[in-house]
Amino acid sequence: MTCEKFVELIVDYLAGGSCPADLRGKYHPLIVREYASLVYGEILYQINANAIDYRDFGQLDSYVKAYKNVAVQYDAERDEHYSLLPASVVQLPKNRGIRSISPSQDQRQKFWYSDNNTDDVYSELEVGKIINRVRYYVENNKVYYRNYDHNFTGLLFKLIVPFSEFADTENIPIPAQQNSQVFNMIVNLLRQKVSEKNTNDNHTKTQV
Amino acid sequence: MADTNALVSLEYILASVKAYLQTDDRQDEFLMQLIMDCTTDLNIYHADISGSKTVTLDVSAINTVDLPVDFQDYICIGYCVGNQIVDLTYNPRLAVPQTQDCGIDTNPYPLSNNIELPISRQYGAAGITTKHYKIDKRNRRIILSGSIPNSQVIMEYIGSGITNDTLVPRYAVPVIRAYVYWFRVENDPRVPYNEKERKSHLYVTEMRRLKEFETRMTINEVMDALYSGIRQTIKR
Repeated sequence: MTCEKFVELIVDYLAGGSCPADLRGKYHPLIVREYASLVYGEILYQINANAIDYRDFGQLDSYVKAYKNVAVQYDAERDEHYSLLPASVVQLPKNRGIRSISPSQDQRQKFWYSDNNTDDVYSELEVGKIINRVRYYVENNKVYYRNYDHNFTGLLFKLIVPFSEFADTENIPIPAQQNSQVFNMIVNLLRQKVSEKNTNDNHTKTQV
Repeated sequence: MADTNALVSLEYILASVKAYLQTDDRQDEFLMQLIMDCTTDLNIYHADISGSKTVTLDVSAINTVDLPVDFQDYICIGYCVGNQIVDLTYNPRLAVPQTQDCGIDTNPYPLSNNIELPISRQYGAAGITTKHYKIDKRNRRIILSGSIPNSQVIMEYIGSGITNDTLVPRYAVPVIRAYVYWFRVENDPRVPYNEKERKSHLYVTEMRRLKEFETRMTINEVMDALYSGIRQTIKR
């Protein structure tokens, strides 16, 4: 289902006869989209937990969006190479929102993930001194590289992106059999929203 | 690397561990460090899987030889005559040269005199008894006594076993995998004791298999050992 269709479906539901009266027709598609983004993040967190429990990281890979030819830049002050994340990433434990970073044309040379601030540990050990593989760690919206002495023309980023990163025409990967769950979670979130007050009696809790 | 190769790289072992654990790439550095720890551990204490090396070392002007950077312990020290190594004799009583002249090490002791071992120690001493050695571990060098032909010493030694092109025999892979499984959980307080113990046991079992494989004798070796004690004598 495309992103636009999904949002339309919710808006349609909210405007329809089966919707709770306090919600009917009150929400703009852009607002619905933001709420969908929140729910989507929650679902991805559950999927990540499942992936760890069942050792099935293919579940996470189903939500990947690939970005090709990401440029590598050089930060002279830190003497480190880095790339700007081409899109915002869903924050999952161990930065699992970034599924892989590799040269565009050779995914076998995938870079190793490294926790931020562990360089002082691993650079002292054999693995840091002997293995020449490029490592990356995440810092805000940048990915910094260690051992980057290559000249790759562009990098391939595979990222799990939030709902807001999907264009209207793109398909939203929602887990099978969880369509209605996602749908209901969004509607429930919207129901908890305090309605706008439309009378002026100087009382904050007055809603109608 | 093709599965028929007798030697595999450390990267291969990492891939193998990850495939068996069905894990993703978040712990690659940690797992690779465990693989390296185990390879070193096997080399030094258990089996010669990739660490033993033979090197030819030049004797310095003060009759010493610098140890290789990855030296852990030696197997034999000697010099080459024809195509055979002639062992030197270990002499713990050799004096360590510790004097310096203008910042350069000098040896106040005779360099090439043929020192005799005490009579009581000559019986059964290994190696050629007029040329002696002693390892000066603190300064990472070998102290020599006696004139060494060509001023070159041949040493077989056990190294740490880890370089950037380290290859490991395929038969050692299960032990390394078992070690990684074990140490991956050993310091994790969430893992119950019995699980840690089970993994430790798996490692010991694999280690026994490796030792058995390495020390297994062929039928020819068995026959050689048997026949070495048999003599032909006059019939009575």
